[in-house]
Amino acid sequence: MPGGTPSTTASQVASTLVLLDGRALGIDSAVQLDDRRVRVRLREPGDTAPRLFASPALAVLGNLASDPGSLSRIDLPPAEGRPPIVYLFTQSDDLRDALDRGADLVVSRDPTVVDYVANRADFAAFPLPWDRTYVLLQPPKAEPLTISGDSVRRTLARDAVRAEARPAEPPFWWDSLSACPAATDSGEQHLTASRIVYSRDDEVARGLAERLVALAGAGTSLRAAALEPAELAAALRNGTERALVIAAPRESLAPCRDALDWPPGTSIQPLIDTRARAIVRRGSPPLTVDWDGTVRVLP
Amino acid sequence: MSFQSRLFLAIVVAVLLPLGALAFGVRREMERRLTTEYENRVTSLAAVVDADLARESATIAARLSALGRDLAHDNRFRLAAVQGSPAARPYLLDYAGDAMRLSGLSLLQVQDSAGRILSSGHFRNEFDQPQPELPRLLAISPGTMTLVRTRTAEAPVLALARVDSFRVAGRRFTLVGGIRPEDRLLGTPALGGDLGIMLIYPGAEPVDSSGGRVVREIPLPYLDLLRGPASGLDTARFVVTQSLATFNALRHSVDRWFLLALGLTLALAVVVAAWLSNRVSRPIRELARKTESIDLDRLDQSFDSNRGDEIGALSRLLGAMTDRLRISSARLREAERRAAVGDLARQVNHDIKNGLAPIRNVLRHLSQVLRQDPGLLPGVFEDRKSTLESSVEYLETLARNYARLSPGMDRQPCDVNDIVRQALRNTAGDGTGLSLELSEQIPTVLGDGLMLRRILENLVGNAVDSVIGTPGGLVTVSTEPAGDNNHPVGVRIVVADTGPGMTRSELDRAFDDFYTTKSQGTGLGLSIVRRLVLDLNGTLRIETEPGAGTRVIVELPIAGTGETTG
Repeated sequence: MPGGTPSTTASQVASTLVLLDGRALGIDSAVQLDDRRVRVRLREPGDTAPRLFASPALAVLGNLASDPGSLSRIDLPPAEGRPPIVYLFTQSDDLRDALDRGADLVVSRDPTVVDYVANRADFAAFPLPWDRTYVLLQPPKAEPLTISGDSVRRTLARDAVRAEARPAEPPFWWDSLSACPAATDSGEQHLTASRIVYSRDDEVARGLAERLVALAGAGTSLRAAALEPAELAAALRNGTERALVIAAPRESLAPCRDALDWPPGTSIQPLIDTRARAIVRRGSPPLTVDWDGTVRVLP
Repeated sequence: MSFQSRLFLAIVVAVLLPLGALAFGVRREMERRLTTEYENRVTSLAAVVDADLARESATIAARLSALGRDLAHDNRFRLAAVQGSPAARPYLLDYAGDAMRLSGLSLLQVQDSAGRILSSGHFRNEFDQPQPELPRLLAISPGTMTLVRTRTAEAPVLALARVDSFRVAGRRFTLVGGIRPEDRLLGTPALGGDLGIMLIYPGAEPVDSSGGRVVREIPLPYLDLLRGPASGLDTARFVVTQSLATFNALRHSVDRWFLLALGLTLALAVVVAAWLSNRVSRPIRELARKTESIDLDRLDQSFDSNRGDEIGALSRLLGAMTDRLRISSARLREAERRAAVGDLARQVNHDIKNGLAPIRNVLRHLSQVLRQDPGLLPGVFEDRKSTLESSVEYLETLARNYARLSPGMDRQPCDVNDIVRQALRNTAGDGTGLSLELSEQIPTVLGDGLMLRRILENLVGNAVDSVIGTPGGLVTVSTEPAGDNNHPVGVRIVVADTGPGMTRSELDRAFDDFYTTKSQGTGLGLSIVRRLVLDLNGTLRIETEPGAGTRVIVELPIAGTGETTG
């Protein structure tokens, strides 16, 4: 914390609020009053509290997640009226391993995991809300790639990706970015590559990029390329690629903040929405799902 | 060029030429053998590549056939491809990718009868795209592989591909499968660094095999799908090359070593040739030096040699020749001695004649007076008595000188004009005009009066003889100081005549002993004059031209100077 102030739960909430707001949604200031209280001053009076207060980012885990890689499990003491919760950490990419190790709840977007439990009587898989929208971003000077019609989006959702997907459906939060303060242009952009790039660890984005390349036809030099997250951010910032396929949150509590990385004038074409599934072992404590897909244990 | 230089060059060339020939031969033989070896390697590798292509073609065909049989019995494929079941569609889309990996192929595509892609292993998301030309063109050359350049999402891919087909529910489906050539051929680990396989696309420049490498080509049908729908097959080539870089490096290395050896040999040859040529030519130079020192006065040079070779033989021959020369020289000296005695006799005869001539003239005169007018005899005798006495004295002095064999020089100051007058008085005129032009300014000279008189009598005698028979012939004797009039360094005596003069050849021989143009002459006059003038440290020169007379100029140093100018 600035000035050497010890990090406390309240101070984290205050700083997170200011960070998320980005001076776009009316929060003028957030000041820590004590360990458990934060005073928020709004720029203008309103009838309801800003939706920003519902952000999962305000959830405070304290020191729990400070170094999860060094732990194999964490046993949380049971709260009043609630069952104990054990967090299991696994190095495996395959969540089926977690299920086989006795996990009661697994949230996954991998259809292989869903298929694994589809015919098993001890598990039930529940769809969670559509929480991600994959969009095609193009720098202002790039030759446009037009996604014409819903049939293409349907094909993308049905065949191009191995995920539970649907054609992207409005409303889209980025349609209201015109209300955000004008961002400064990062400078001259130089398109250098005829590529559609995506994050290396995002298989859905990869499927979408490859399908777009396939649809472009054999006579073009367009191709798909996987980039490291940092390279992808730089490509988006510098406008050096023909197009980018990235995952955006389906809902945004701070649109101006979430769109800060998108340079002004960037073309945004929504492709598909995806969602995860909660795989729950039968007989587990009752669960509920928040508006943003967060699974919580019911008291 | 000296013999030593020739010998030196001959040795150097004799050493370098064989070495050069050896270098050339080794280089050529190495080139021939290595080139043959390289050609054999390339031919062998080309055969291996050919066999690999055939084997890979058979392998691909077998795998496609197996996949076709499996798909014909695959219900999920039937549901998706024939019935259009949405539930089975993901299976269909992922089928080619899974099958491709399981079968070890690099390219796999399933198409329906309309040429639409149902499943693609190398580019999963190109499903539903039409590409009918691929199986159609691959079927043009059944039984062989075609090199196909197609695309994936990330980059173009090159594959050796074949086509097969199968039927499900009466519908015909095609399978296109292939492997990457670089996986099996271009990356063959057995290939050495200089041995390579290249893939040459249609339209590319042919591989240059003229300089740098050995080349064998294997043609292959080629289909490029990146440029859009294709209408036919081109021809690509697998090119097996053997780089000659190692060979060239070896050749350069050999060249370098040969040059080094050549340089060392040259240096050694130069040293050896210099030593050897010097050793061989030294006796010859020694013989030349000895031979050069030989003349008639020095024939004591020894040519003894113990050598048994040609040099020794030559040395002995020269020694024998020197011995013969020594004998001949002795004989020559004896002949010269005898000739000198003869010369001396003739000179004595000449001098005595000169001394007797005035006496004879006086006696004739006295006889004439006695016959014609005896009363005048005592007067005439008294008048000519001095001539008789002078001639007798001359003869006595001459006799004393000859008695000493080597005439001595009685040097004392002499009045040249007085001696000129004595000499002319003793010379018979015979009607010849004699003129005296004596300078009274001349100094006295240091000399022998008798020698001066002999000089003048000889010169005047010759001049008088030259004008005899010449109308108006005149002999003029003149004296004058030599050098500056104020500071004379000698006396110049000129005896000039108006005779016929001498030609150049006559002048060249004028001082030779026994050379004369006169019928009664001894040919010793001018020779004696020259020796006498030289004995007096004087100089003598003759100015003459045919028809223009002759001027004999004698210059004698004045007393105290030793020699004259000019």
